[in-house]
Amino acid sequence: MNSTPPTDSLEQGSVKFELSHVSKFFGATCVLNDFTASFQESRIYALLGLSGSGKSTILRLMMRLLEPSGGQLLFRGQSLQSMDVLQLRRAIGYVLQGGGLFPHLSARDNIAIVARYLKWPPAKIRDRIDELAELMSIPHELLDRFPHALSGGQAQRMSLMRALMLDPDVLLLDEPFGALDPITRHDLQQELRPLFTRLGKLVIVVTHDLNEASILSDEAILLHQGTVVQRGTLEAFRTSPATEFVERFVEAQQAIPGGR
Amino acid sequence: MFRLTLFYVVLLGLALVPLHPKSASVTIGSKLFTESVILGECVRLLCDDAGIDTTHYRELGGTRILFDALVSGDISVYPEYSGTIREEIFRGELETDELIHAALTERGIGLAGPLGFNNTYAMAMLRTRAAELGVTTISDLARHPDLKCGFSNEFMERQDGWPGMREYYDLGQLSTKGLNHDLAYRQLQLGQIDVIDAYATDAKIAALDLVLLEDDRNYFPRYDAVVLYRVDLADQHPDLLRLLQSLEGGIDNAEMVRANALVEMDGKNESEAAAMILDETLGIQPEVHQESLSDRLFVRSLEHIDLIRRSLIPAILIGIPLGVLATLFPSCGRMILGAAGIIQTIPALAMLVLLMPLMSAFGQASVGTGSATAVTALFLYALLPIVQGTHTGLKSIPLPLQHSMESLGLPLNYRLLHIDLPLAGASILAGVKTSTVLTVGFATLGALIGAGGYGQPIMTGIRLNSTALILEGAIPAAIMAVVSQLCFDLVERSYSTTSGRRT
Repeated sequence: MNSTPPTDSLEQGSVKFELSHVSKFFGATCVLNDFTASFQESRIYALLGLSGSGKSTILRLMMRLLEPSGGQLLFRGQSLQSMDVLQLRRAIGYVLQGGGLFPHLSARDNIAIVARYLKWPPAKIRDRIDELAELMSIPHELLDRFPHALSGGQAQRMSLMRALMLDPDVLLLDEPFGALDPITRHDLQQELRPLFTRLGKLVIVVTHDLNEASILSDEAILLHQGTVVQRGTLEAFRTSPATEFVERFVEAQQAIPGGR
Repeated sequence: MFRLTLFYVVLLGLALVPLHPKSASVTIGSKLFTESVILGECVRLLCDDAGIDTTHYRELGGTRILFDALVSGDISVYPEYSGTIREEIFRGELETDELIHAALTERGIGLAGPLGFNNTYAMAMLRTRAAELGVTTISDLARHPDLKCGFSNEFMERQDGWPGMREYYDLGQLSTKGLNHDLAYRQLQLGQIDVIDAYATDAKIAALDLVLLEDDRNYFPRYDAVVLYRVDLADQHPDLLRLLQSLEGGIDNAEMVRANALVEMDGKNESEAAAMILDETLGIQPEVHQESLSDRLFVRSLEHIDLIRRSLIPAILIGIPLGVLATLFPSCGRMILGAAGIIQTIPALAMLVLLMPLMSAFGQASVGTGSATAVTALFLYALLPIVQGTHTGLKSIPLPLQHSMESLGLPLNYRLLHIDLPLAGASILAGVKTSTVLTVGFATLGALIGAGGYGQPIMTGIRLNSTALILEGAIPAAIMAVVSQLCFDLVERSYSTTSGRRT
C-alpha cells in the first residue's frame, strides 16, 4: 500500500490540537489515561485500537461532547474550556460510522443544515454544495434523495460533504467506513487520501483497521485500555513493536488478507 | 424563534376563546332527575312568556354542584327542596326556618315558595293490597308484623330512613330487605313484597296505582319544593321574582306525579310536562319548541367539538414542550411524567368537583355548556399521552444520530425544531392521536356538570332508562372517535412517506 511516510511531508504546520495529560473516567472506569499528543495542520492521524480502547473518547473530548476528568485540551492554542462550544463544533467536521444523516431530511438539506442556520444566502449554499458534490464525485440527482434511498457509500460521501460544508480546519472521522462493504470501503479509502492531502486539513481517523490506517494516515497512535502503547509510522509498528500487544494487534490483522 | 412564539401564543389564544359567549341574562339550573328538570323548564317557560332571556342548564349535577354554582353566580335560579336545604346544604346545623333564611340571605340567595308539593320519603303499597288489609297510615303497619318490606339500599342506611323510622313507629317485627329501587317496584307488582319506600311524587305512583301511607306521626322531614334565586338578579329583573312567586302553592303532589309520569311513562319531554303544569296552575299556554333530531345533533356536535378544541389544542401546545423539558432534564422529567400519570388516575367526577371551586375562584364559569371546568379536566386528561409520546420519541432517537446532531454546533432551540422534534414526530403524532380519541370519549363526561355535547343525551337517557336517547349521544361520539382515528392514520401515513424510513 502506498502509505506516505512522515518523512515525506517535511512542511511543519502549526499545531491545531494539543492534548496534555488528558484522562477521562466514567465513574470508577478509566476510559482514557494520561493521554498526551499534539496534532498538526495538514497532517492525517490514525487513532488505532480495539473497541473500548478510548480512541472515540478522544474525538468526543475534542468536540466537547464529553468533558475531561483531568488534563488540558488546546485548540489553536486556546483552552477548549474557554471557547464557545457551538463555534468550536462548527470549526470541526465530524463523520461517524453509518454517516449519521438525518432520515427526515433530503441529502441536500442534511448538508445545508448548519449553513442555513448561519443564514448563508441560498445561492452561496447551492454553489458550495455543487463544489462539494464535484469534489466527492456525487451526481446531482442524488442530492435530492432521502438517506434511506442512498447506498452506504453514497450516504458516507454525503456525510463527508456535510462535515466539509463550512470548510472546517479539522476533520474527525470515527470509524467512517465501518458499515461499508469491502469494495466500497476500498474505493473510498483510495479516493479520500489524495483529497485529504489536497484540502490540507488536519484529519484524525479513528479505526481498528491497520490497513485503513496505512492507506489514509501519515502517523498512527495505538491505544490499549485507555493508554497509548505506541505511536509513529505503521512501518515501525511492524518492524519494532513496543509491546506484545502491538505485535499481536499487527499479526491478527495480517492473518486475514484485506484487514479486519 | 420569535415568530414561533408568536404563532404559539396566537394559536393558544384562539383555542381558548369559547364558542358561545355567555349572553342569556338568567341562567337556570336543574338536578339530575326528571322532577328537577321539569321545574327548571317551568321557570324557563315562565321567563320566556314574560320576555326574559334564559338558558337552562339541565341535569347539571347534585345539590353541592348546583348550590355552589348559584353562590358563585354561574347559575341564577334552581329548584330545591326544603329538607335538602336544611339537611344537606346546612348539614342540619340550623334549627329554624328563620335561621335558614338568614343564612341564605347572607349568601345573597333568596327563596321563593313553597311551590305546593312535598316530595318526601313515603311508604307505598298497592292500592288493592292496602285496602284488603285496611292499612292507611304508617302506624297501621305495626298491626301487620307479617308484611314484607323492600327498601332501597340508601333508605336502609340513612339515619333518617329505616333505622330511625323503625324505632319511631316501633316496627321492629317487620321483615325487611334492601334492593334496587326499580326491582322493588317489580316485586311489589308481583306480590313478593308488600311495602316499599318511594318519593312522594314518584311517577310510578300513578302508573302502578299505589297508595302512600300517611305519615301520621310526622316522622319524615318535609321536602317542600322551593326555588332558590340570586337576590342581585331579582334586583335586575323585578319581574323574575314576581314570576317565581306566581308558582307558589300552585303545584300539588298529584299534579307533580302526573307531570313526572308524563315524562317517565309516556315519553313526553320535560318542556311538555312543564307546559302542562303552567297551563293547569296559571292558565299560561307557553310555546314549546320541539327541536328535531338533526337540530339537536347539530348543536351537540358543535358543543362537543368546541369542548375538544378548547382542551386538546392547549394540551398539544403545552404537552409537547413539557415532553421536551422532561427529556432535557430527566429529574424534572420524572416529576412531569409522574404528575401527568397521577392526573390520569383521578376519576372524572372527582376531577370535576375538585376543579369547580378553582374555576369559580378564577372568575370562570364552573358549570354549564362549555364550562371552564370541563375544558380544564379534558385538558389535564389529554396531557399524559402527548407528554409521553414526545418524551418517548425524543428518547428513542438512535444514539449515532444524537451524537451526529450534537456535533454540528447548532444551538439547542434550532436543533430541537429542525432535527429532534421532526425525528420524534411519529411518536408525538401517536400521542396526539391517543389524546384525541380519548378526549372525544371523555368529553361525554362533561355532561356530569352540564357541559353539553354528546354526553347530555347519554345522561338523560340513563335517567329516563331510554336506550334511544343514550344511542343519540353514544353513536355520534363513537363515529367522531373513529373518524378522528382515521384522519390521524392518514396523516401518519403521509408523514412516514415524506420523512422516509426511520433508521
